[in-house]
Amino acid sequence: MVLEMTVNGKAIKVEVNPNARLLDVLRENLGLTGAKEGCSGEGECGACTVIMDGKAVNSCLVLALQARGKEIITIEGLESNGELDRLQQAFIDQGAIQCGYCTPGMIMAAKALLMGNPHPSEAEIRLGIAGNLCRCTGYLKIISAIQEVAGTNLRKGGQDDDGV
Amino acid sequence: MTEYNGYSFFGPSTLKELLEEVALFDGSIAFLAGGTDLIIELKKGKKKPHLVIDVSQIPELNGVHEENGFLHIGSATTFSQLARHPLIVEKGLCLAQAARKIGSEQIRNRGTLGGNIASASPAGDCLPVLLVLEAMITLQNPDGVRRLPLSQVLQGSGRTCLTPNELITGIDFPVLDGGYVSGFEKLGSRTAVTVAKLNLAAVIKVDQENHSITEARIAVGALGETAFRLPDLEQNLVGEINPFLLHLFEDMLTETVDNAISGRYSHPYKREAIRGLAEDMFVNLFGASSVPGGRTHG
Repeated sequence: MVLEMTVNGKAIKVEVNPNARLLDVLRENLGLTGAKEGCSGEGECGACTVIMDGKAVNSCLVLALQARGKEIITIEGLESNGELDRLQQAFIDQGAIQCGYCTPGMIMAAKALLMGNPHPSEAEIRLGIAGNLCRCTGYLKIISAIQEVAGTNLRKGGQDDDGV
Repeated sequence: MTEYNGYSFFGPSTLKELLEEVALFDGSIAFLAGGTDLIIELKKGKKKPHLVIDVSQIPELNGVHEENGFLHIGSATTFSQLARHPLIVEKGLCLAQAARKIGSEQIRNRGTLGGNIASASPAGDCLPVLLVLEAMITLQNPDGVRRLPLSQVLQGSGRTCLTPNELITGIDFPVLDGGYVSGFEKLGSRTAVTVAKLNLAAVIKVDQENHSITEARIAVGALGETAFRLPDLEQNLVGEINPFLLHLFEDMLTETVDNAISGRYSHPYKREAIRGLAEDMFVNLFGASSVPGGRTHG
């Protein structure tokens, strides 16, 4: 069947099987391999998170054909004119990445949060990324990175921003 | 036996289109809403329908409105929508509280109230809530419409009264006016993204002048094949609000656990844990001063 949707601002028309998931189409048909399959399609780990019509979704739990007419943003769609998104840069600056497997999903969950709420509290950030598992960093640096973009970062370098 | 060749997909944009296709189609049908349960089952081959019909892009099945003293909720309304919808927050708060505690943001953005009912999980978080809200469920197939209380729809773990070509189209319940308080509490292995080990929903009508409870509706989940109401306990809560009420509530809930799951490995844990949920519920409904020590919620 033919699927029409918008991916990272581009109109896409692609032939898909009825049982293909959005994750499969992004990775296999469109070559957008940023979104990862972590928990083998159970919606537990968030590594496949993309933004659909402004909301974070697990792309392993959306049939591709359910995305008909939708606007999808993947991690590949965040950079513009060769410049990383502020959130991507903040993850690098804060050392919020180790193995990197969870990172695209984590950033897309955080991006969706910031799109709806530009200045989330730490509690709101924790809630926003509760569906994303990271097995390396222990989350604190990830939260710091998101706070940096939200303008609520108090932890940079282990000190307050205005600390010496 | 014919080999299973997978499913085809139909994505209608109106209920009429959907029902026409259902009437014509010769084979098994699965209705797909948020997909947070069904897509996993399809992938594992636990369900093998010939046709998957997507109900997630049918505007008639999405949204909340108030009419003649009832809140009407489209079956494909997501948990995220319910969690923050002003009508739900104002007139059916326990449902908003349950919706907020389901899964993760990603799951809440896709999972739907109709799906929660159709999946009929013993631990489904909205199910005890809909029982205390005395919700009616509207089911539809090409032959007609029926409207049943949730207790009749739920038939067991993963089992409902839905016929193979029937889908849930709506949920309605009488609004809770200012005389009522309501709440939802849940216990899982962690605070977020967890399947309930216990869940508890309450609707209480309080007579402020006489400092008494005039009506109580209590339901529990994860203690049997389906969530259920506790009529005896409800009766015992009616009357003057006194300092012993929480203790009575805890004792009756422990007794409920004893009656429901004695002999199960989780019994010793749940009979104690439900007392904590009872206390959380009192804080939720009546404020921190309603429990000994006035502890804060959570």
